Amino acid sequence: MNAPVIWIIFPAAISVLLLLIKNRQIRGYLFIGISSIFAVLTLLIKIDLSGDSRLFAIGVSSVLNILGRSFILLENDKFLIFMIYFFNAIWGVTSIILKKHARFIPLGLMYTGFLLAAVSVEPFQYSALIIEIAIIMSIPLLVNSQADRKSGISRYLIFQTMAMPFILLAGWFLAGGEISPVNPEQLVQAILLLGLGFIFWLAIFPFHSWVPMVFDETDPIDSGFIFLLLQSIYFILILKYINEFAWLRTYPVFFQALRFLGIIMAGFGSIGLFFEKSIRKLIGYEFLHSIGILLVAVGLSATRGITLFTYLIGSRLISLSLLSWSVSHFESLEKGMSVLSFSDLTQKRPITGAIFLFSLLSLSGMPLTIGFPPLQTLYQYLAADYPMIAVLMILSNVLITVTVFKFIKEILRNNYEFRYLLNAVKANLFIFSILIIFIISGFFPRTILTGFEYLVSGFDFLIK
Amino acid sequence: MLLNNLLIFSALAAVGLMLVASDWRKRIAGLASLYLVGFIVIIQIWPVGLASVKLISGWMGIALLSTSMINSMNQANGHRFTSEIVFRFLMAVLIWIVIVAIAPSINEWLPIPYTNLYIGVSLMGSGLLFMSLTDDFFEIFLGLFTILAAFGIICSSLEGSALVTGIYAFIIILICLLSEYFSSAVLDRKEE
Repeated sequence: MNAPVIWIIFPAAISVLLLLIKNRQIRGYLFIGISSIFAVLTLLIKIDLSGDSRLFAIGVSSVLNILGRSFILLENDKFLIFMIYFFNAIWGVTSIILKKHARFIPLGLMYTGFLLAAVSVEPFQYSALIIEIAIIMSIPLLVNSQADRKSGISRYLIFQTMAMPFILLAGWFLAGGEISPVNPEQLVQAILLLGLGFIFWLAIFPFHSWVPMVFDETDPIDSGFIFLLLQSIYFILILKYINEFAWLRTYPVFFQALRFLGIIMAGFGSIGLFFEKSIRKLIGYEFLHSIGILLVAVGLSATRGITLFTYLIGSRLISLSLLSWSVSHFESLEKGMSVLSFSDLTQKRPITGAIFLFSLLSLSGMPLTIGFPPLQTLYQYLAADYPMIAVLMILSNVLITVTVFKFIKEILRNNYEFRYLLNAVKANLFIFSILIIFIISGFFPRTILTGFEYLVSGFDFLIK
Repeated sequence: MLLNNLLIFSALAAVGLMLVASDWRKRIAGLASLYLVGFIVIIQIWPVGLASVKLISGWMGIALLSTSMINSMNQANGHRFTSEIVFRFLMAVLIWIVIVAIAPSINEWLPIPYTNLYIGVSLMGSGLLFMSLTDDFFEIFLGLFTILAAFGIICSSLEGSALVTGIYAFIIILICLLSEYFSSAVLDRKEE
C-alpha cells in the first residue's frame, strides 16, 4: 500500500461507486463521511515510516510508479491532503445544511484526487496533463447540461486547455535543468513558456474574462468548491516550480513579473467588484482580486513572502468559502440576485447578510477579521520595499471596503429606525465627523500619538 | 521533400475545409483527415504502435462527436454567406503566411523537423481562429481538437513518452464526452 493509492486512487474509485446510489441525501452523507475519513487518515498514517514508529501509526510507502513516472506523496504533503479532504467535507456539510443539490457530490472526490495527482506527479511538468483532466471533469460539476448560458464555461475550457501546451513545452525545456539552465537564452524561453502557462491557468489579464462569466452561470456552491481548490493547487504548483529550480529562485525578473501581474489583478478585481451589479459576478471579481494578492505575496520572493502567502491563502479560503455559501443561501430565495435586491433579502435572512458583509470585509483586510493580520503584514513588507505597489494594494482594498459600505447603505435605506439615525447624523454633522476621525485614527495611531512625545521632550534627564 | 510538402498541403487543405464548410459532416471529415496527416507525420519519428494510439484516440473522439451531432437536432448546419467563407479563408491564409515568416525563428527555439513545426503551429493558429469566430459548442470542440492535434504533432517531435500519449488520448476522449454531454441537453430541451 502506498500514499498515492490511499489519497488519489481510492477517492476517485469511491466517487464512481457513490454515483450508483440514487438517494441524493445518502450520497451526500457518504461523501462527507468518506472525505472526513480521508482527512483523518492523514493523522493516523505515517508516510515512509522509519523503525522507531509511534504506537498507533500505520506506515505506508510514498511512491506509486506508473509507466516510468512516479506519483509521490510525502509526509510534508499531509497537511495539504488534510486541507483538501477537510475542505471537501465542510463544503459537503454546508450544501446539506443549506439544502442545496451540490453538483460536486460525489464526483468532487475524483476531482480532488486528480488535483492531488497533479501535485504529486514526478517529473512535475506532467501535472499540466492531469490538471487538464481535472478541468474537463469539473465542467459537468459546474453546470447543468441544459443551462442556457454556457459562454463562460466554454471560455474556461478554452483558456485552461491553452495553458497545457505551454506548461508541457516549458517542462521539456526545463528537463535536466534543476540546478542551472543549459544557457541563458533557454532560461528566457523556459520562463516565457512557463509564464504563459500560468497566465492562462490563473486567469491573469487579459485572459481573465471567463471568471466573472463562469461565476455568473453557476451556483456559488459549485463554482466556489471547484475554483477555490483549483486556485490553491495552481499556487502550490507555482511554489513547487520555484522550489525545484534554483535559477528560477534567483531570477529577479520572475518575481518582478509576479508582483506586476499581481497588482494588476488586484486592481482589476476590485474595480470590477465596485461597479458590478450581479452578486454572482461579484464573487468572480473578488476571486480575481484574491489571485492578485496571492501573486504579490509570492512575488515578494524571500522566505517571508512565502510564509505570508500561506497565511493569506488560509484566510482567503475561509472568507471566500463564507462568501460563496452566503450568496448560495440567498439564492434559494431569489436566483440571479443583484445588488439592488440585497436589502430585501437581508431582511429575510439577516445572519446570511452579516456573513456576506463580514466575509467581504475580511477579504478587504478590515481589522478584527481573519483577513486583517496577513494583509497588514503584506502592506508592511510592500511599504518597506515597493511603496508604489503598497499604495495600489491599499487602494484596491479600499474599493472593496467602499463596496461593503454601499451594501450597508442599501440595508439602511429601507430601515426606518436607521432613517432616524441618518436624520440625527445630518443634524449633528460636526459631532459625527469627529466620531469618524476618531475611528479612522484607530487605524493610524502612530501618526497622532508620536506628536505627544514632545510633551516630555524638555525632561532631558528622564528621557535620555 | 515531396512527402513533406504534400503533408503540409494536406494539413492546410483539411483545416481549410473545416473553416469554410457549412455542413458539419465536411468539417468532421476535415478533422479526420487532419488526424491522418498527423499520424503520417508522427510515424516518421515514433514507432507505429505509439503513433497509432494518437490516430485511434483522435478518430474515436471524432466518432463520438459525430454521434453527438447525429443525435442532436441542432446540427450546426447554418448557411454561410460567400463573404463569410471568403473572410474565414483569407484569415486562415493570412495566419499561414505569418507562420511561414516566423517558423524559422520558432525553429531555433524548438529544434524539431520544419515540416512538423510548420504543420503544428499553423494548425494551432487555425484552431484558435476557428474558436474565436463562434460561440457554438460544436465548433469550439472542433477548434480545441485542432489545437490538440497540432500540439500532439509538436510534442511528439520533442519526446516519445507512453504516459503522455496515454493521458493525451484520455483527454481527447473526455473532451468528446463533454461535447456529448452538452449536445444531449439540446436534444432533451427540443423533446420537451
